[in-house]
Amino acid sequence: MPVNDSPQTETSSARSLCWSCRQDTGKGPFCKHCIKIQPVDELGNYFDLFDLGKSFEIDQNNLKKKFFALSRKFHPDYYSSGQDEEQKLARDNTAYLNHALSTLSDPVQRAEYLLSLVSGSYANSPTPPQELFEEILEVGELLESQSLSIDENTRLTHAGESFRQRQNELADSLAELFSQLLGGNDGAKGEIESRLNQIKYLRKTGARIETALMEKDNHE
Amino acid sequence: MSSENKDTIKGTAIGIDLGTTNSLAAVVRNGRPQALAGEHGVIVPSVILLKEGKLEIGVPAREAMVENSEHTIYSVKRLMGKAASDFDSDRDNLPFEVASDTRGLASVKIDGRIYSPVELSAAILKKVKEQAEKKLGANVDRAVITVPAYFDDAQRQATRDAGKIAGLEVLRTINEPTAASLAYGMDKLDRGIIVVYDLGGGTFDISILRLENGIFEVLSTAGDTRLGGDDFDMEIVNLILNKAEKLGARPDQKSSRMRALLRREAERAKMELSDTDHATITIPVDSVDYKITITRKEFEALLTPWVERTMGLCRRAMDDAKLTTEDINEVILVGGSTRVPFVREKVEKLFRKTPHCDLGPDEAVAMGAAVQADILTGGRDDLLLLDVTPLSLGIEVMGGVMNPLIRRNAKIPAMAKEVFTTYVEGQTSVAVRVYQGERELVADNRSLGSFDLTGIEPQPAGSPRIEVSFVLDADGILRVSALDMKSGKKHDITVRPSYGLNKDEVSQMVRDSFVHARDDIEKRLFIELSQEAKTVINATEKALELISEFKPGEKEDILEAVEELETALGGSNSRELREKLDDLNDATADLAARMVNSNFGEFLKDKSIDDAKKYVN
Repeated sequence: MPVNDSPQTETSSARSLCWSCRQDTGKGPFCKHCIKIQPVDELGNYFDLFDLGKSFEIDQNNLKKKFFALSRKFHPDYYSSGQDEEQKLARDNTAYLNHALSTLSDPVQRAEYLLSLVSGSYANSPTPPQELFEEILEVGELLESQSLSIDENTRLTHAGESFRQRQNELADSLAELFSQLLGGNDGAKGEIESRLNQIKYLRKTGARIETALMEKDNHE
Repeated sequence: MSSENKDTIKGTAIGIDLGTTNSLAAVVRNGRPQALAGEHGVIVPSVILLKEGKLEIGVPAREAMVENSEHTIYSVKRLMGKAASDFDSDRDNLPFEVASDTRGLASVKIDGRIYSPVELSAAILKKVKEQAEKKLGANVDRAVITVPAYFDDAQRQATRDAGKIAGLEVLRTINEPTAASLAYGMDKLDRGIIVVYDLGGGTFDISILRLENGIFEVLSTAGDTRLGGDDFDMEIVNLILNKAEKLGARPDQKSSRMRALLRREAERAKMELSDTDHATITIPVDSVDYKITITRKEFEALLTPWVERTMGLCRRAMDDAKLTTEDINEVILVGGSTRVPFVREKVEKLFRKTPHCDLGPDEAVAMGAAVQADILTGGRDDLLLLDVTPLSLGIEVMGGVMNPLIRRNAKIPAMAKEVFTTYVEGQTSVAVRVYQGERELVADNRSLGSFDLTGIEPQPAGSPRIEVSFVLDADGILRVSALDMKSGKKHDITVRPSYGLNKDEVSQMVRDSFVHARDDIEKRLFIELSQEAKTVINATEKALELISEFKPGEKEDILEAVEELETALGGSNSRELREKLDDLNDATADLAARMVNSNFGEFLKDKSIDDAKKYVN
């Protein structure tokens, strides 16, 4: 199982003492005694970092606002004349923050992350979904032909639109499944995994279609 | 949070634009960035004259270029961080002889001596530094140096090294278009989306940023490190040669003096054509002066393919940022080549906005670098730049597939971790091979280096858990580590690009991903299916060893299905592979059902667990 990160679920009491003054840091990202920057990945999961409830549905504008506020606290640019340890923590905290943002702003990554938080693991199957296999191969064949006829070009454009639409529909449908899963219905997990795999293949193939059509535009 | 500039013994921190054609410095005074002029103006041409042990840099070197053509070096930025073999194909288009140093790095050969692009760039930086010190009347010891957004790790590292050699502490290397946006956006815009179109002498970059309350968030970046005004000049030179030939003149192209003269005239014609419909140049061949006229129409026809290439990259950057032209609030032009009216028209047409260049296309980058230097030394904390990495970074997994850990346009600093496992029974080491690029197969991407994690306890294939971590800092320097989660054994390296393994250059790689994207889908499907197929075959074979009772003909059917699947694995047709895999699953379905009810039930689950694993070779 590929794990993209190791979610920390310990509470702040599990955090070691301040690296600088060796006292209890308190719960924030800065030591309450000496105000030095502290490792932020020990403070809980990504939802905690942004002070959000654990849920699939997220207000993206709010997320971005909180991201900017936290960037202003941690960014390495503000620590470039600090001690080595401060510089390292600024880098690690910002990297963690950036990763948290990209995870929570993307429906697929958010779903995978939420699954790993809820059930500890998920099956990230690299196997092409049976439902889409023929369709993907057809698109692959279209993309392979050196010059597209007008008809083929239209088919490709339609396939691209259809892929995008189904991706969005599948992603939207995850919200309901997640509220079931978070509500204690473990049965929803399998369905979420299967839909996620479909979304990933739709996305990957869709990106190929776009690249091909864009390339064609460029030649005209 | 910003630390006080407590260190009073430190000198002034400046911003430097180290350009292919021109370089210059700027500093922030009373909160405003200003370019620092020397006796010849703010610009220091990136031209070096090496004659009789004497070194001249900037305007004097450029002025003496034609008579000293054999001793003059320019456009040295094109060699930064490159292998000599990268220039095998276009050595003739370079204004000097490219040599290889002992490590295979591209260098310049003059008078039988080899100079590295790093030391030559250091000489330019030193000149810029001295000019700044003279103007400021103070010691300058720290700088932010700008690089094309599309520079890879090696090119960035080379730039930092040049800074060090010039006696500067390099506070940061920042991307040129981002720097320009800082200079523009710091007081002109509260919020909005801006596009920076940066076409310089040797490189092209496009960056899209979102500004919000002092935060400059780069949304996407695209570019080409081998596209710029130098190419325009080359096109004009070739046109001049064609026309000269028709007049019966045969300029000696082997003579470096003639080449320098042609280039100077081409550059002059290019500038003239910005204002007029035609330009006339004179070239002396065999003591006859030939007059050659170039029309603006001819010039624009020559430019079209180059400019179209930049348009394609602009579209990709918008696509990556998930934006359309309606979302764009401002378009900023940077780099001397945006003075060409044809370029401006095309940019305006694409974005449907009149582009801005009020800071002067030459000065904006250095001014932005000065603003960043001010931020980094604690001068101001209301502005913050959030930049991205231009190319995806990943490792090779089974089948030669690129498994990206950090994607292009990810915000930096960045980190990523992924868990991998082994593919061979009892495997005791794994090779972690690191690549940069957008293609599906590592063979088509640029190798950044590799290392082995050894001492893994022999275990069945698929059992070890090896965690690979990437940390990319704000300068774009990558650190990779691999951890055997069972033994706690760890290996880590700071990635230094290895040369000569893959001479493809970054921009070529991305261009390739446009062209070749089509042939990868089937390959990838096939590779992914083969992993499943191999797992199923493995599980079936183990099941056959364990089970002794079969229905009539069952075992034979299964064995046949295994054989056919193995044949399909040897081929390359993914549809056939899928069919044969389904056949085998059908043939074993009954067996599987019986096993679930028996003690062997656990066994079958392996099938699906193994599907989920990735393999490091």
